[in-house]
Amino acid sequence: MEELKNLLIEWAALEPTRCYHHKDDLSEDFSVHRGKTLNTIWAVNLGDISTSGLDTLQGAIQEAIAYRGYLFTLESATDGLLYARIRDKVFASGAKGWYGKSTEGAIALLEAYVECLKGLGVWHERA
Amino acid sequence: MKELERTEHELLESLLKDCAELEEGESFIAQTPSGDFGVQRGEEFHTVWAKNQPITCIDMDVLQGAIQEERWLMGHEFLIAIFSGGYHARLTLERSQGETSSWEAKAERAAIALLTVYVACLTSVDSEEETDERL
Repeated sequence: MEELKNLLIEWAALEPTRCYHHKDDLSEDFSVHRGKTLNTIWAVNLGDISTSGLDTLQGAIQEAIAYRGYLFTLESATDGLLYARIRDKVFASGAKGWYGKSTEGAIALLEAYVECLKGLGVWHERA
Repeated sequence: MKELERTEHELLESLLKDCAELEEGESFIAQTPSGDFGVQRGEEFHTVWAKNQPITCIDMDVLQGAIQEERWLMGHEFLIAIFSGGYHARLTLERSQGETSSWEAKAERAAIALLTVYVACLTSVDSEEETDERL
């Protein structure tokens, strides 16, 4: 869960309009935009993220990727892991892609998406 | 995300019914006598579609998560991809002697694309088993 928490903190910092991290002395929560609503997917003080929280997270990432007009694949493999790949349409034939893997689809996609956002930051800085 | 259109509702209902019936009570999808559909996701059972209520995008997310989690499915390769017109799902089943069969579907929702290939695969396997029994 520490890996997921770090990824969510990074996402919230990179894209605050889609992922929100709240922390004070009493509580720590993560929320994501899904559809037209902001949904709290994980109240950290209450324990591990729920399966439905993970599902909403995955849906929110899929929505975010689609909004950017990017492509993704999420593929299961016989090693029990799910492999995510995001790529930019503009560079569809090139090597530009971001990857993630986990036993949970949401975490695999989030890992790839955070790398994607970081990559975009670098790309925009260069442009 | 906009609400499901009528035709999508009908398609989803038909797929959920097929899935619940194909596995004869052993499916991760169940329909209650009142007509609601629920799915097993992790340790919990979620009502993903209460009859006469619109299905929400969060319900669709839970449905997608439940299909991805389905133990039978995890032994096989599946893929979800997004393309310009929606979602694309592919399920590959390994047969004996290295042969494979695969099913593909496209839909505006990832959960519907994934459920479509899952039901197509189950239907095919079910029909083969019936043939084998007759033989």
